Amino acid sequence: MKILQPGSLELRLALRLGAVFLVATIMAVGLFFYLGDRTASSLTRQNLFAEADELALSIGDDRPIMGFDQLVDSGVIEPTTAYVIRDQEGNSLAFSDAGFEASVRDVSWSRGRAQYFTVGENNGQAQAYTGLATRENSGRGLVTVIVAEPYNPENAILDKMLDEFAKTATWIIPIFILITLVVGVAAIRGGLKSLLETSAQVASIQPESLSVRLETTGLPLEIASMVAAFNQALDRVEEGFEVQRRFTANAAHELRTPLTVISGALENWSEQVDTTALSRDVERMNRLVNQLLQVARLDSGILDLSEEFDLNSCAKDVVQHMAPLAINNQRTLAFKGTEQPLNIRGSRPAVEDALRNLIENALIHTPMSTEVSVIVTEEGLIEIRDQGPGIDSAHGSRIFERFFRSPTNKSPGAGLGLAIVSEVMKQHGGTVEYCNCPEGGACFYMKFGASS
Amino acid sequence: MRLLIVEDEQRIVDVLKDGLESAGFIVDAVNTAAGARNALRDVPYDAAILDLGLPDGDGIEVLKSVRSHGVQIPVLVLTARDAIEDRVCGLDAGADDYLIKPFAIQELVSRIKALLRRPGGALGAVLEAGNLAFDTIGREVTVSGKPFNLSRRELSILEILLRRFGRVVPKDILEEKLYAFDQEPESNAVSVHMHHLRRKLKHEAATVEVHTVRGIGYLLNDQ
Repeated sequence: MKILQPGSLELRLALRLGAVFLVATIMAVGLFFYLGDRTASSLTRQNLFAEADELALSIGDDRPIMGFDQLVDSGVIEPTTAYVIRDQEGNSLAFSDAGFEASVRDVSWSRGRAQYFTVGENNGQAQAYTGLATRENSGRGLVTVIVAEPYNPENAILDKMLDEFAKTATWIIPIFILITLVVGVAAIRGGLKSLLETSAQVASIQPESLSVRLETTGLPLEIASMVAAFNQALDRVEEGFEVQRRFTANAAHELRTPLTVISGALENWSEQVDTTALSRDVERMNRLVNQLLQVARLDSGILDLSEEFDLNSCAKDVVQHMAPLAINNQRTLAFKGTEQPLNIRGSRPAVEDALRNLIENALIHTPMSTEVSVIVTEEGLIEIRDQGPGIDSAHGSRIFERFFRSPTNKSPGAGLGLAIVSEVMKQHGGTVEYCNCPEGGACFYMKFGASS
Repeated sequence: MRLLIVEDEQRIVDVLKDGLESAGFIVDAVNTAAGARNALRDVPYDAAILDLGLPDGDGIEVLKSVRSHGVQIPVLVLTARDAIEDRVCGLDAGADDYLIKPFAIQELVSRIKALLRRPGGALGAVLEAGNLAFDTIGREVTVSGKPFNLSRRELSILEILLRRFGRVVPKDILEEKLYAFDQEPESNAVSVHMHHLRRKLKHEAATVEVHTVRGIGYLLNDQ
């Protein structure tokens, strides 16, 4: 079995499953980052915002701005807090210490977002801060407040972890998705196994094995209901075939009984009156009935093509059974077969019918005291050769159509024989062809496929 | 010579009776499977003609049941079905021969006669065809009552052909019957014997003739 054939249900499910996992993973990772980030920074941020608000409020329009110690004393800021307040032109109005003011001058701020940064590195005493910049209304108009708290190592570990995780995730996630897909495909295959078995069962159903019903146990519920519906459809089809089968069987019986009575009665009278013409009519009628029954059987598709039989002995039997008829009509039959049996698969009765039709035709068209020969070759070909006038090649393959009668053909017949042969050969995956032999007479070939 | 016909179609029974009675048989007829079982158990018939489709059961079942009760008489099966399986099925169940409807009464009569001529059959040991008679016990052949000489192998060939009168006898069957296992027949031995037999039959003005079906075998029929 191929892995993930294009267009297969397996591939479609695998692709969808892959997409689902991709989206789910991205969402999970994103949520993880978001929550982690928020937990880490939200406390600090809330404090910083609160302090920034307080700082802005502490600036009145005429009062001098409070110094660091004053702010600490009045509880506006923590003693550890560093800050810078700038007016709209960017001039510093107040700050906690000059070093901090100088070091944040170059920091580019994403407004409202807490950031990590270090100051005082140049002085050799590195001090890391978590800070934020925000715009606030104050007594002296809009000001930019930058507040910072000394950097908290606990938050930093979390942050570092997040950072590392992000790096790892970039190559772990594709592998994770790949593994998921492989496991997913295996799981899908396992789940579809019962479905594949069901489809194998369906494939084995033939007109002659219609009594097979598909197993519903062990199938997924959705499929089981479909299979149940399919089984019901099979019930109806089987019923239809059964009706057809009964019809042909009954028709055979109903038509042959009166024919038996008539032909028997004619024979019993033949010593008193001349019944030759009537007997010929009954014989013709009998042939027509047989052909119509053969057509009905072929049309109903109830042919059992599963039998293995020897084509050579099949042809030999037909010739053997028809030889008395030929001799009674002052013709002879000859047979040439293969040394070895020629086993083919198909319906032996149907092939016999087809061959019988061709021999009957040949016997009708070949002149008295001539021979009709049947030759079986190693290639799975039956050749039926007569010494009659041949066939008008202008008819082409129309001679195999039902009820086709050549305008020049005076012999009795409904034009069904060759149509039957053609249909039998078609159902066996073979063909029937004809040609006129250079030395005179027509030649028909029943060609069976090499392995049919 | 008493025969039983088991057939539910009265018209066919009438025709069969006409034909068989004019051939010299005494004929009884029943039209059900149950009737057939009773008749075959109670009356010592010489042969039976059995239709497979009966209103109260399958002819095959009748055949199996009477065979299992020790009825040994020859049974010829009639059938309107034509699937090969049915024929084989009938022969397996103990039928001695079969005919498919519609059939010629003459064919039926000659088949019944052939069955009755089998070893142990009711018709005795003389095989007749046309003006030819073959006494299988005395090994004597006559044409119009006048005896003539045939070799041992020609006699064997003629007997086989007569027992299957009107039907093709495959050449390999003739070879099997003519030669023991340790005797390898010469490749054209049968055709040589056949040639002599033909010539002698013609010379004696017999009305039967041996026909060749090339590639299969020979057939004896009445001209």
